[in-house]
Amino acid sequence: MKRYLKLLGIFTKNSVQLELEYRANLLMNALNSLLTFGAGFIVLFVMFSHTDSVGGWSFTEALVLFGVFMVFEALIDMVLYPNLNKLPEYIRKGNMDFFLLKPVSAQFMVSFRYASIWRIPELLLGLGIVAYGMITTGQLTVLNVLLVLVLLVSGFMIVYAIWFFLSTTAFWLVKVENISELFSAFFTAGRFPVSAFPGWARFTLTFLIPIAFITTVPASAAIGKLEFGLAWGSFVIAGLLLLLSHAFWRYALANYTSASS
Amino acid sequence: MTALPKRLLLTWRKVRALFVNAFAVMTEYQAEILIWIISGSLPLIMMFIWMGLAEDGPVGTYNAADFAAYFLMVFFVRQITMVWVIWDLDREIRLGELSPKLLRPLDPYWQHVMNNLAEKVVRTPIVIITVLAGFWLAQVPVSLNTSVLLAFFLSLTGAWLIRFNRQYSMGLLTFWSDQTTALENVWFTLYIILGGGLAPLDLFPPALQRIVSFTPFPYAIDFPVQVFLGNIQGADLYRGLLAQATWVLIFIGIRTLLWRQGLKRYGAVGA
Repeated sequence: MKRYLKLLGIFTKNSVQLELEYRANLLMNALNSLLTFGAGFIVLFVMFSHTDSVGGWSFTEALVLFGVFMVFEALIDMVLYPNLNKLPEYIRKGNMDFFLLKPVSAQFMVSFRYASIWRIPELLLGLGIVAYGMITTGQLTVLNVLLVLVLLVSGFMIVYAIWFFLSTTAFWLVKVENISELFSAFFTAGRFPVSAFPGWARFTLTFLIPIAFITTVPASAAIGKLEFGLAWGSFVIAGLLLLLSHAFWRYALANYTSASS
Repeated sequence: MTALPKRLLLTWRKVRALFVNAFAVMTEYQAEILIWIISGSLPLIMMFIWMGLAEDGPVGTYNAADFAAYFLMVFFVRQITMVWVIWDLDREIRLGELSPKLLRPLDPYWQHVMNNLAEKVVRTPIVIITVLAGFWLAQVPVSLNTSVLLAFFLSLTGAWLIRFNRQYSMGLLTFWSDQTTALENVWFTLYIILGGGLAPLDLFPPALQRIVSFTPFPYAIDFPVQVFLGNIQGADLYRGLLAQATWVLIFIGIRTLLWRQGLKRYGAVGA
């Protein structure tokens, strides 16, 4: 475990050094996260100028949910995208073999080798919105902050497991660089409370593609309307999906015959 | 007198060759195209949310069926006018892949146009079936006549020409900067919200509506959608088409200028 943490530190440092070559990125990403927030704000503003609740959520509450959504979008771009989207290329070009030869878990190598830092403005903005919402709804207690953080981590594990599962299909389908777009397409639903969707879509987004546990559940905790069963549900689903995706990965590796032979 | 028809025939042959080639490539990418279609499903998610809001009574002038029709058409317009040329230009200019293309007897612009059109041939049937299924599932009544369809086709073409030439112009900025794809993401955010992709523009506060009307964004989504729904007719229709034509000309002008200046710079680097 200690070795992995040390490696993670080295990888991150190395990635940051690489990224600092492109400093203009920071400005563009800061601008884009402000615009993303602006666009989300306008949509909510327009909605709430004609109604006073979306799926039972008030304006401030829906804004908190949008903050959580931004946090996940930033994390996906910072951690998942720069790593897992390279997996199909590793397999096609044979680089995968090098990871298998390393004395550490190959899943760790393909998942955490790179980190992108430029979405930090969006991450901070998202967390800021959540904090603002917690203050205005009077939910800013140490215990609740911890609960929100734990649920965010749990939600991120769900995202990681789904994304990792989709990327692993590259062992058979080879050209799947944009398969993660499938997840992103459903994930955009996470910017709204799951209760705002029609019944069948609510079912899909809760149980089939558990977007509800990724964004709605942590946001509910932040504004103090969490049902505790759902918190446990989040942990159980995260654990199950991590195990499932790992098993799928092991199965894929067992059938892997390398690109060159 | 014979020179012009001959040259036209020659250009037609070049363009046709490019199209046949591009189409052959695109049929290889059917699975990818399907994934890209699904990835453009944000309007459908917005449709569910707005329909839910309209359950207890109309929002503005929209009832649930109006929202369904509006967002299904937003989905349709966005899919049919889809462009990605900036990612190709960014790669070609940065990595020097542009160089061999300059030797060809035709501006690379036309190859990109043909790539886009060829992809449309693969994409359009899937999109039409999806949208028809959506109209049927949501039980939205549609009354269409030839003049509305004709106007819709014109406005759709205008929207595509705006998006394509705007994105091509931005792609050419790669001659000067490596930030063009990041800039594209910024533009996309503006396009999706100010074009009416997340909320119908006529539900926006009037002041914001006025500002937006001076930008190209509504002419790339909202205008063709409203034309299809029969909400824009007569003088407003002609005014809208004229505005589209103006934006197309502006972006074609910018593209031509950037292409000339950029080539000088590209040559100077010696790539």
